[in-house]
Amino acid sequence: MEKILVIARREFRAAVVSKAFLISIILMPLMMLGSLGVQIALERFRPDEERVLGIIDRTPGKNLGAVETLNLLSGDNSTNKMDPFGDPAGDQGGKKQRVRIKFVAIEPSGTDPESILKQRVSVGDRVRKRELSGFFDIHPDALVTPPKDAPPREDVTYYTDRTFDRDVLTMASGKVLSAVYLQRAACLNPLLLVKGRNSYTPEELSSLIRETSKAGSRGLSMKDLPHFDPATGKPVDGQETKIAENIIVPLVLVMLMFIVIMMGASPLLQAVIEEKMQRIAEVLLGSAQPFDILMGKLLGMTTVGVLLALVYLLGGAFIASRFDAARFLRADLVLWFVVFETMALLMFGAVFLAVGSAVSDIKQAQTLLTPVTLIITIPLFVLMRVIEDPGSGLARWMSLFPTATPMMMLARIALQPDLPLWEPLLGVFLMLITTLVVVLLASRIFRIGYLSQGQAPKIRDLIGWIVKGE
Amino acid sequence: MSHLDAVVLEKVTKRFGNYTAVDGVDLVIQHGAIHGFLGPNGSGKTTTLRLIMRLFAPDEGRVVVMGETHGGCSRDEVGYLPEERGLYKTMKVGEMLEFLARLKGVHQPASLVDDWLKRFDLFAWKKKKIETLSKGMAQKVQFIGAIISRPKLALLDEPFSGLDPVNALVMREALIRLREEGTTVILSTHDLALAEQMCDSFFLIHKGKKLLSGSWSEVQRDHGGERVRVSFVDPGIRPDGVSGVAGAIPTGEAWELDIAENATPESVLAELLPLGGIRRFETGQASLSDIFLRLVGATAGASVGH
Repeated sequence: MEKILVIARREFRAAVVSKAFLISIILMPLMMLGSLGVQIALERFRPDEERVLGIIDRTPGKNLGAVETLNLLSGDNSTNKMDPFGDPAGDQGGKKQRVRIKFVAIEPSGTDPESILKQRVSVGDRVRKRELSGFFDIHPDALVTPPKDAPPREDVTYYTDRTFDRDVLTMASGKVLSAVYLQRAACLNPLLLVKGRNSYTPEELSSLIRETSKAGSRGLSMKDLPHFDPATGKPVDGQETKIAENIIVPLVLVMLMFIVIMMGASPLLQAVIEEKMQRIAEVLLGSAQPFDILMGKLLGMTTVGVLLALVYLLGGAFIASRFDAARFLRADLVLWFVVFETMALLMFGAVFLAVGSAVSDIKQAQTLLTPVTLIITIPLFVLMRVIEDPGSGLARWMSLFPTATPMMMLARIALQPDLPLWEPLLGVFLMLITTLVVVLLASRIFRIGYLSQGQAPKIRDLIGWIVKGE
Repeated sequence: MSHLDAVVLEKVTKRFGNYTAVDGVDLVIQHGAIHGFLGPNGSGKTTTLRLIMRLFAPDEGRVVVMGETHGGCSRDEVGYLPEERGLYKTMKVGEMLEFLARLKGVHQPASLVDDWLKRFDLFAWKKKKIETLSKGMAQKVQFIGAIISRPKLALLDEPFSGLDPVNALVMREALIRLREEGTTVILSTHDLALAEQMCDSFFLIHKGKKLLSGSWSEVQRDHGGERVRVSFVDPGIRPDGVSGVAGAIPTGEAWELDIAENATPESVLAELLPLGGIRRFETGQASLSDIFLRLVGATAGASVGH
């Protein structure tokens, strides 16, 4: 154990006290920003699209309802086309928008809950048929300022079958909410409307909206589409979707885990090949058992990887706190992240070490690395499906498959705070066994490969090294 | 084997595919001496050293090091300087040596490192990176790394290669001091003259097989004998094939002659005189080089310093 720690300490110091580590700390956010930039750049090549959104305005006194307010603000008196704060042509700030939002007013049904639900199911069917992209449902009491200390109320609900409707979030929802709050302000003081659109400065409008949006409102709620329960035949309202918890948190954590695995484990391969080329391997083997060397390197790298991940998590938590979103990084989630990241680094790091020891240069490593990289990447292919339905059979089985456990189980824990504890614990147990087996097998390859030179071994040779030990 | 034996090899064979690198070798190395490990390139020396270090497992036979058959803690008691040197280029000299010492179980290596660096005139380089050292300096650092833990057994594969005469002398003194302190040294070298001066016993291997082993007096008794060195006025004259000459090896303008068992230097001289004018004729005991060349053959002689 002492030798393992001596080697681990050297590996840790060599990795952390290096330009590469500092660069990687800076590089990762740049990579993330870069991927964001790529997505923004790709927007330019997105085909023009018109998103038709329904609005069911259930507020009483329609002549002074949300629709009228929007039109009053936008100066557009068309009842079907409301783009209150932007140009109806979709030209904002001189930049051509690829996506245009078109609002369609939908006559509200009766006010009893069943009629409301039935109407939502019926409009939901129009969404399913792609007549609409989604629809807003404005609560009858939305224009009434709730009493102080009242529980938060759903004023505006957006129904969609999309998990993450970025276009609506960025281009429409704020406007609809603003219109509702402004109208609420007008209900409090009808004389406000007498001034007319041109009499208000943007600051005055913001002030009006701010005042009325402060009290007991949840703002925009997002739900999936209502439907009829096939068993009872009764209409069922959509389930609320929480974008931060349901999309951003698991996505960012899993991507962070993936990047740290790749950034942490890949250098091991390079380092072992360099040690072989620089003939350090034999010096080390003269002092320590191959297993000690392998474990020392693994521990050193894992510590570096976890440190790197924690730096980013702390950075992310700090940024999130600035936007009042730190609550999404739950303490248990961070703990599970560290557990799974550690185990993933140990497991995949051992494989990278074994591959590095078996080859003489990077070129030879490519062939052996392809299946390894594929195994690491597979969870990313199904990540969105797991995010959409973390309770599905696919999600459960994937999260219990040891090579996919770290990413899949973490995503599920992020999405399901009430996930039974036995599931992640079983995942950890299975991973622990797999990691031990992988480390033992890798050490057998490492023991022979570390001193070998010349032609890269074939898979058959590697199996021979593992089975026969020669 | 006895408790005096540092290393025992019993009918050890190691193969790589169809190639037999070490072929049924028996060897006993006793504690507390410098043992010369000789052999031409590709003879199986490095493989044998790796077998002793347990970097390889023998296909047949048994390797016992410091009384242990399966390694265990004996690795800490063995210092190893491999044939191909390797140091972390970006590490500082002091850090590298401390790391190697800690790997051998030395808990407070700082003062030890300073001592050795001063002894090898490297103290000024302690905080310099390995990559800034010359080949000879790196060689010394590597040597220090091999023996810094004061091992009971030191396996040194060509420790003098790349050293200038001054540093070679420092290294030689260090080896002698190791022996005085009780370390058993196995010294693999091609420098036979140096080996003859320094080593207490010898082990010669060729094509994986043991050709000789024993103390200098035993080697002389079994493989030595008188040697004749002769040079002719006409360099074209060849003494090989003359009666009483068992073997002849050209060394520049002279010839080293191996005298047959039933001949004497005088009888050989009598046979040589008719060939032509003799410029020089010397007799003496066979050197280690002579014995090496006789056993290994003239083909290997080309690669041996003479």
